[in-house]
Amino acid sequence: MKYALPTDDGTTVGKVFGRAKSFAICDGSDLSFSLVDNGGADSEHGAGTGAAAFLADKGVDCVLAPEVGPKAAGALASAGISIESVAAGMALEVALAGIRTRS
Amino acid sequence: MTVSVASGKGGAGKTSISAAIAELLAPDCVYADCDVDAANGAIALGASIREREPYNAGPGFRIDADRCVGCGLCAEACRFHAIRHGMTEYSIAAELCERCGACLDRCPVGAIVTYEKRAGELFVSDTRLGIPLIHAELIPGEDTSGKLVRKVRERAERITGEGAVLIVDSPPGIGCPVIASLSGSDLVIIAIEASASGIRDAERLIELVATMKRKVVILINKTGLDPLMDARARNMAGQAGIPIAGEIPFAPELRSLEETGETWLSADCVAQKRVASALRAVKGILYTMKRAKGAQEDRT
Repeated sequence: MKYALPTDDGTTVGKVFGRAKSFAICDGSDLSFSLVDNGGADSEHGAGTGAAAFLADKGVDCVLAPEVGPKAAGALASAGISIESVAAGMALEVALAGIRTRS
Repeated sequence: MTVSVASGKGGAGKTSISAAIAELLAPDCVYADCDVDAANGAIALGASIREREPYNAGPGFRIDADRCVGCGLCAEACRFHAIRHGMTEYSIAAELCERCGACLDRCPVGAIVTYEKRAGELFVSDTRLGIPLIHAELIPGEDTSGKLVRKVRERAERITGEGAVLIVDSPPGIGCPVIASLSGSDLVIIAIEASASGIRDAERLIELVATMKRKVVILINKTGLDPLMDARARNMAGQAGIPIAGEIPFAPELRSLEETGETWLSADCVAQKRVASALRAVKGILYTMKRAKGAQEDRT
């Protein structure tokens, strides 16, 4: 399972999905992750669907976010990416550890 | 803590409600006017601009005459007929350009160049209530976007102190700028105008908010004009399972009040009791949420 979490500061879960500054991508083998810039954070429209397409291209299976906008949720669903709810402000490692024990 | 006021329909009372809540919570709040197409928070709160910064929407396009070979492929590619051949050369009419980038893609010699296009300005203002107001103004012809709403909110979030409430006056509709106004909010107040169009538009907003799993309360505005509409609005709230924080009767006095630069909080008319009780309910909800949030943070 490959996970992606939106983050603005690189250490905690961000409040928003489509306009997050970057995404923390974790391949699921341990709690380590790499940060990738969200090129669509500044798009005028369609930031959510753009982010969904971006993560689908990266082969992500599951998005961990406090909330995902309605259009982005639809795009993630059609890409077969599941969405798990985590609280904003949580440390990225903690959010990942939590989801791994849940699944 | 963030509370967003939205309505679906324009003119349902978003700014009036936001301004009254702001006066109720002042000085412990910040006002973000995200209804950038028709920003009137500055009028409601009596603002004087303290800081301004430019807002760039996205890249603008122009043709570099030195590199252009005059093949006309760009003009052919442009679906908006923004590229015309003038007396001597091709040029892009900025007011017609939708900035899709088709010309950039098609040009064989790289003569289309982009530049940072100024779309408006962002302001931080002082207000009559003593609270900061973040708002923006667009250059005519430029449209609002989720990006601009995000910029206004980010600016506002930076100056909202711990324990203070950020009030987000959202744009009408259910599109991108509205989603950007609601995302990350702790509470959404839906203002329903008790009219056929007000109810229909609120219904669409309720559907949107349901997908975003926000905590929501409803304020029914302009009641008393048509009992059938009042009943339909209440019914809709009941069916959606959303609590009604209050009902505000239509009263010309409320409008006159705003014309003199006051908020509904200073109402001294038949609507006064209803306004006060609705606002008290909102304050109560915010207070409870704040305490719950504080308790949660203490545990973690």
